[in-house]
Amino acid sequence: MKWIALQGLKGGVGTTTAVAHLGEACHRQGRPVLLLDLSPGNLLRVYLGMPWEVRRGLVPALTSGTPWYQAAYRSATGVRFIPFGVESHPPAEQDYSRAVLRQWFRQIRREAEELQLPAQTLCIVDCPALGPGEELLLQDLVELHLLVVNPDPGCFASLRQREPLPAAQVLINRLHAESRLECDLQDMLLASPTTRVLPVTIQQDAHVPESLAWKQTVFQAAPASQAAQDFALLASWVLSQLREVEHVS
Amino acid sequence: MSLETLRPWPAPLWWLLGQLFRLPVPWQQQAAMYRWWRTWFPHVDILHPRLLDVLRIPLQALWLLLVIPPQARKPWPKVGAWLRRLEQATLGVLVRIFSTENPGPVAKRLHRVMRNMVEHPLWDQRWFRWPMLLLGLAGAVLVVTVPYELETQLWMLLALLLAALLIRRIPGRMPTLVLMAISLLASTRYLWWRYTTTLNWDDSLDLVLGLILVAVETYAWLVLLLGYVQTAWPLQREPVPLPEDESLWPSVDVYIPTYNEPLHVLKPTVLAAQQMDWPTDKLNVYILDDGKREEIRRFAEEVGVQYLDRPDNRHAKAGNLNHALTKTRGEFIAIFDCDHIPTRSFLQTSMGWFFKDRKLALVQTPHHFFSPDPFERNLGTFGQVPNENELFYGLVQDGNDLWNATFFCGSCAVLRRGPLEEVGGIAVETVTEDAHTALKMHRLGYRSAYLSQPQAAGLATESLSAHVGQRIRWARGMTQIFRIDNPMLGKGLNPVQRLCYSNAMLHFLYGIPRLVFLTAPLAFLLLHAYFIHASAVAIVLYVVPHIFHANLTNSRIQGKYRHSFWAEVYETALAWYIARPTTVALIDPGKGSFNVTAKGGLVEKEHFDWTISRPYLVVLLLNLLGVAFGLWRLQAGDPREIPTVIITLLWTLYNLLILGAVLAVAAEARQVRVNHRVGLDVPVTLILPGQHRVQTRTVDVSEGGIGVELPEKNLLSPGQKLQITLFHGTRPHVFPVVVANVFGHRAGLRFDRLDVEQEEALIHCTFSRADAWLDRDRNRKADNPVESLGEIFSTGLRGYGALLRHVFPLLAEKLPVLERVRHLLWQMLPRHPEYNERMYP
Repeated sequence: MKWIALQGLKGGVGTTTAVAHLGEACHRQGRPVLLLDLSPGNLLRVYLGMPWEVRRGLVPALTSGTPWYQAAYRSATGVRFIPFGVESHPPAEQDYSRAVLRQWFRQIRREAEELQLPAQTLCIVDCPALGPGEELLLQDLVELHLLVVNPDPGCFASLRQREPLPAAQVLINRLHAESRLECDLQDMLLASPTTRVLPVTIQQDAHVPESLAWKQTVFQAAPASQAAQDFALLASWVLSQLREVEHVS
Repeated sequence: MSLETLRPWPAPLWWLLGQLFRLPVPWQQQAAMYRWWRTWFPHVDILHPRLLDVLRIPLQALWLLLVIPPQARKPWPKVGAWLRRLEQATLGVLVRIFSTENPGPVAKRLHRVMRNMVEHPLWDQRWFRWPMLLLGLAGAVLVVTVPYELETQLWMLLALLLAALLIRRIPGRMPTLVLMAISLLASTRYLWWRYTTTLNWDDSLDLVLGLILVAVETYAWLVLLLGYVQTAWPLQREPVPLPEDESLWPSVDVYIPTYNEPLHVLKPTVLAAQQMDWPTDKLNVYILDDGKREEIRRFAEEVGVQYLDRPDNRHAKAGNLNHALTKTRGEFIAIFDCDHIPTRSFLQTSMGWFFKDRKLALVQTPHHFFSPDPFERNLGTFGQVPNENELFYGLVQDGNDLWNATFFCGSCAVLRRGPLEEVGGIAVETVTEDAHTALKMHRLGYRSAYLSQPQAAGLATESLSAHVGQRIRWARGMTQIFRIDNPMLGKGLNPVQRLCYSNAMLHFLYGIPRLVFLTAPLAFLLLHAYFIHASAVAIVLYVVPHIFHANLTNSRIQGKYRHSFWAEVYETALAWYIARPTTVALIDPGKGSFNVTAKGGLVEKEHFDWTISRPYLVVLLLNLLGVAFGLWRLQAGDPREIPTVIITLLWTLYNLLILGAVLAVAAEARQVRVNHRVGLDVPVTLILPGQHRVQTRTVDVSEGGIGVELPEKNLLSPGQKLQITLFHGTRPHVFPVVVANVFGHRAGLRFDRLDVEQEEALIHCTFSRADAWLDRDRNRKADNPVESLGEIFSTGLRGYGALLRHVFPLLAEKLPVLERVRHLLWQMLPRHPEYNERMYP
């Protein structure tokens, strides 16, 4: 069982989108997946077609003392996922602190080994965006930690200020190919000696929000779209990367 | 939108669900059913039913039930399996003996013994080496000259045949050499027999005709022998990495000579040459314009390359290059014809060897053509059958390289300035200045190298007449060199270099021999001359091994680069035209004039090139007359002659087949566009209105536009404006386009006013990619002599069809209807089941 985590450099860069699509793409390539939403926004489930009114999920289960894995669902396409869930008496925001989330994750990771999931299941974790001055949420706890950024000057500056981030591999999301600035920023990131940037870039594509409006990923709503191809490529890269991790260990 | 499978996992049901997950999901079942269907009904696409499937399905079902019952599929399963096992066992033993890859213990010992024998110090002793060589030669002479009874000859024929058929299945170079030896023995024995027993000294007509044929056969034998020497061991040289330190890299001048080629042909070459990966301060691109055109000068200024012209136009291209040589000072000179677009990796791939070998004066790379030459266009063989050039660039130059005899081909090459200046620049004495220059440098002891990866690509000649014109020039030039600077004579070359150069030149004398072979059987059929004075049985027993082994061996050596029998088509089509110039040049090398190869033209209309094909039409008529005479002789002639008549008729029929293919070449197919479409399969993103992006793949690209596949029909409509993204590595480049046309899942997009920067980017993303030409023969099948003969046969038939169509236009009107009826009937016929593993919807 391999674990990878995706975290946004800041909010709104498309981390949840990337998790849902990466999961769907891996599933389509024949790799069993389990998606875990650690982000209090509880939005991952929307891509997987869950109705609004269902409130079950990870946090309600953990706080009510029932086993967390009983909150697992399968989407229409067969992707297993655990939504964050909505608590009946929502606590203050800071209760989902970095330390709490890390502790939950440790427990989940430990107990997941006991579950009868298909062999080689890949677990993908959606983390809340990086807070100011924070380290990566699941640093040292996962095999692969991707940091999602947009190729805009804001992200670029923020990334430069945080360097070095040795544990993270940077995924560029929403590249406008026709913007010279964004292409140049991408080239600069790729050339940077201190930042590891993925060779796969996700391009901006209006099909993504439209699919979300259908509560779907682009793989169902627009299979020919650029986004579908990009995420499929990302999945191939991730899978090959994990294979290398296996070889090393 | 369905949420049917949304349910939590109840803990006690873990294992049950685990079992359930392993059940095949519905789409897999569907795929299995689809596979089953495609196996038994290969010609009915169940997903896209057509009207006539109503008939096809019951017909096929009947066919399957009645004609192909399961037990009848393999008529002699046991005997077949037994034979196969025997063959496999024999082959296994042979492979283990010959193969160098994981040999068994016995083979290892054998290899060691053989290596000890080969590397024994005795061989360095002159007193040992020469007698042994003589001994071997004496053995060969014995095999060649010993007279046999016909029966013994038959046994020898069968033994050699069986041996060759087995040996050709063993991979490796040693078996190839053995095949060459067998072939040479068979052919030499044939020639010896021809000289000693088959010339009729009593009849003057027979004797004269017989001598002509024997002379021509001797020429063919010589070319066969030299060809084997030349291609025995292709070097397959790999590129050498450049030094890490870029300051050591030398300066390179890129010469792009042009005379009258339009700017749109020149432009991509110049832009690509500028973008080659090399330190910018050490790369200077020069346009050498003999046309002295203002337009070109302005273009050069705009893109920032140098422009050179000269007061006169003496010595055409050679003079143009020599003039530039005096004006520039780079240490190396890369030369590209104005329509050969280099890839960005050209210099990095080719320059490494100059560091390793200080005496190296020339690195040549292949001329690769992305448009079909007239042969390929008119025969419809582009991308399937290797073209005329490929034997030379794929095999001959690589074979020459082993002997340090690769020569300069005028373009796509790098030369070292020093040696070039030492031989007085590019040679101007002959019309093939390139080969002559290389010969001169070899004479001074410099070396040449050949890299067989295409690192540049260009346009093939347009029309048949231009193609023929170009070949005439090569043939004339090579013959001129043969006369005025004969490689067999003069100083500085080693013996094998002399042979390689001589073969390159002798090869072009094929004109007269080809014509003789085309008409020889007529001497018997029409004139009743016994030019081969032997019985029909004897002829068969001697000719068969000669032809069979030569074809088998050549198919093995050349198969990847030239399919069996196609050489005859290519050479016969040109034979008439090069026969005269080569003969003239052989007698007086100074006669004749230089002609430039026209490029970028357009064959406007489908037509039959009567001028080019006239001599072949005459030969065709003669051959038909010969067939008529032959049939008459069968009917009314001496019954004892019948076997001879039959053999001669078969020969004539073969000639008619080749002639048919030559006529197919003359039927010029129409060309649709000036900008050549080049097959290109790379990802492209369509940016539709509202930032919708669709990724798809390109089909082809030309200077003016790009063809893409559409994932959905009606995604685009003609006239629509949009942008597309192509990638250069990870860097995307966006180009504005207009949809020109849409056909189903294909769309043609026209570039919408690109600026210079975008044009550069376009070249970068397409033609000058380092991997642009690597998989050029991806779709091509390997040579199979029998299939190849079939190809020639159908091509020949098409040639006669074209001839008839152009002679009787009325027939042409009816032909499409007939063709459609034939097609319909063919589609209705039941098929053999396709037992294919990989079949998914």
